[in-house]
Amino acid sequence: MIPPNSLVFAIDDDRSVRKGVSRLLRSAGYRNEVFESASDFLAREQHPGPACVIVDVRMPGLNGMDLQETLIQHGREEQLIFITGHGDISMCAQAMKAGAVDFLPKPFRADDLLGCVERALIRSAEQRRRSTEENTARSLLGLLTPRELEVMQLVVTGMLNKQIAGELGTAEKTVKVHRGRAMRKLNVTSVAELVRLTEKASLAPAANV
Amino acid sequence: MLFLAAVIEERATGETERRESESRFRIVADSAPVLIWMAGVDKLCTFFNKPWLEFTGRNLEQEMGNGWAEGVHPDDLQRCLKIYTEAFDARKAFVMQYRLRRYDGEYRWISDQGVARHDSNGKFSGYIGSCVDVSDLITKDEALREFEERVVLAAEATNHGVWELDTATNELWMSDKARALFQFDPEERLDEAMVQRRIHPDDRAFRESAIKQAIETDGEYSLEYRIVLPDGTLRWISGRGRCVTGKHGKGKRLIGVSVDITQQKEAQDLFRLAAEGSHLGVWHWDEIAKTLTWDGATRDMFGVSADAEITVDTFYGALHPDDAERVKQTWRQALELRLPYQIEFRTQRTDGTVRWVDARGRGYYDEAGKPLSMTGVLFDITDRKEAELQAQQNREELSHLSRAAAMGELAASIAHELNQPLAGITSNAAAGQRFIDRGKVDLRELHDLLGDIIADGRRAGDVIRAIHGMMKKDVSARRRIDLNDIVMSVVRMVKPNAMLYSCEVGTFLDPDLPTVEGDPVQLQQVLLNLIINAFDAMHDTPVTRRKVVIATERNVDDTICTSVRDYGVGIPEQARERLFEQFFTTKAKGLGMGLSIVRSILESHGGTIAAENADGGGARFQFTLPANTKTSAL
Repeated sequence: MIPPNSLVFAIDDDRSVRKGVSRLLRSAGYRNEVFESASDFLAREQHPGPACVIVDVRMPGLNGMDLQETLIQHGREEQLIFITGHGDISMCAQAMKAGAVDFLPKPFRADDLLGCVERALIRSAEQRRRSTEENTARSLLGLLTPRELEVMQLVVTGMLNKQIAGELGTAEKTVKVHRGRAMRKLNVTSVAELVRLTEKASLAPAANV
Repeated sequence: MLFLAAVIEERATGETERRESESRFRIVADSAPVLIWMAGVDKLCTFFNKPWLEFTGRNLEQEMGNGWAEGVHPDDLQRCLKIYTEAFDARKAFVMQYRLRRYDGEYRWISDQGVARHDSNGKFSGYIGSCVDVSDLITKDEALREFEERVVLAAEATNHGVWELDTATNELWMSDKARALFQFDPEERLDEAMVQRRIHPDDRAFRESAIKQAIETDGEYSLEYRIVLPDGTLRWISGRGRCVTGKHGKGKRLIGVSVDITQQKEAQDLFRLAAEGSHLGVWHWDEIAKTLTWDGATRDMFGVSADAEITVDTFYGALHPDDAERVKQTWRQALELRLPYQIEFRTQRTDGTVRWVDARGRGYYDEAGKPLSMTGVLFDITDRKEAELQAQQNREELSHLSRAAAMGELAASIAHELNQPLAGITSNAAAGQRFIDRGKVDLRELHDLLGDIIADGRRAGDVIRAIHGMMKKDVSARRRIDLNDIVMSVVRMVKPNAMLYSCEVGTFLDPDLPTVEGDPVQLQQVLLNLIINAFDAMHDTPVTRRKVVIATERNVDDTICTSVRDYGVGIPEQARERLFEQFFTTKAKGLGMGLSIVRSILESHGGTIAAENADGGGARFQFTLPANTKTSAL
């Protein structure tokens, strides 16, 4: 399954590897673009849809590891698949820790690479979706007043209105009003929905902060 | 002549009727083939026979009395008259030679023998003589004498003493030089016994028997013997003699020459001592007699026993089969071209032992340049050769190890170099399969795809071959090569390493480079070593400055200079001198073999290498190889 609007990039200084990989991707139905160097790739505008980058570890100029670091720094979510002519365990470990999809020694099996690409694109699409939800949740939460936010943070921990009032040193009725207004702003009808929303916004329950 | 004259006289003084006998005598005398004259008691001539008158072309009247003396050569006349009158007065027979004018005016040498004659009563009645023309004999004798004199002179001029021994009388004639040689007085009468007393006691016997044999067989002898001079000095003499039988009326004689060879002998002894001391063998080839002579040491080297006969086949047969043709060729060539030669070859003894020999020789030629002989020395260089071979083996072994080590360092590169085309191949092949499986086959695309696979396959093959070449142990696959190609192949090989070191590799290659004669693998090894050293030197260089530049350039003197320059730490002053020595290293993990092997490879290619610190930091290693200037049809 190829996520819609996805694009695969391949960066290798070796022309025949570029050509081969590009052809392989095309044969599997992937839209792809190839680059001779990491800097050429970075010069291209970022693809808005799901994307993955197949990159050679050793290259003149910016190498694969450098590219990974740069992408992380800029918060980009293209998924990285490393290919290398001569595997190096420490490099492999480093790349995987930093979130690479896989680290494939050349010559790789075509199915392995295509499998990686599929996983990478799904992961990319998923991440894209999650980040969209997070952004929505965050902007919804941004609509709340500080007091409403305080109340909601206690609601998601499972406290009753009375307990929240005790905690905040206010009347149970006031808590009830804030809670109702916030639920409307966030467009949720149950505590369960509220919990999911805060999770998407990567906001941990207040008790755990 | 004497006999004939006596017969004539007997007849002339015959017993019977004087007149009758006289007239009969005249008839006999006139028909005799000699000139005959008679004189009376008053010394005046009374008769000349017909042949005399025909010879002188005068008549009897003219010759009578002292008339004949007019025909005698003025230079000879006084002497003749003196001999004649003295003999006449003593009534003795005489023989004299003088020149007598012939009818044609030419003076001819005449040998004239005269005897007194007596009548039947025994009374002296005058002289009778007979003459023969001996001009031809005299000239021959003179020529011979002159020739002999010349021989003696020539012999003396070359310090050869000449002597002649009458075997019957043991009387000995010696030239001045010969006398001086044996220290005999110039006037002293000599005989063989006196010479024998001069001979060293140890040498007397064999000299005597040689001489004796020469006399008995009318043969020759040639000897070297010692003499002891009166002052006790010992001299070496080379003596040659030849027996000459009864020529010119003489008896059996031995003539010969002697020469002092003390100096040569001493030099020879010294040489022999030196030869024995240094295991030097000496040999001599006589081109005329086609004989080969070997001394003991030479026999040893060829494994031939001391008493075996030596022929040229012995020599050829003792050569190692692999070297035989080369040795024969060198030998004949040296002889023909009249050049001294030197060659190293192996001998193979009958027991199979192989010895290495260094042979040097030179030929000797006559005036026309025709080879006469060849003499030379041999020395056994087996130990040296074995050491050399061992050293070479070690060097090759080390060279191989160092190459293997370099390949180890390059393992990453090699893997990378191989895996790149393999990745291309597998990707393309898989893509092709998928195109086919999906039923959307663009034949054009498929064709290109397969073309790419083939190209990558070739590329992988090239890499394997390069590695194979580098790992191979055997060497010296020399051929004509372009150094630029070597540089590019090594640059490609080290490219991944360069990336690993974040180092830029640049080249400045002279496009008009002549080829060199060399082993591409070895020269790759040289460059590989230098470039890897350059990388190592730049550990502490900031990444932006890490750079290796390889340049080739043709020099004016038909050499090619290749340099590898880095921007690293440079060469420490104290290391510069020893840089190319074995086991010298400035690297913590280095073996100290790399540069020494680099140098030995370059030297074996007739090249040199030097290192310097470059302007602007870093080191420059620069090696020079002779260009292949031979134009080739290739």
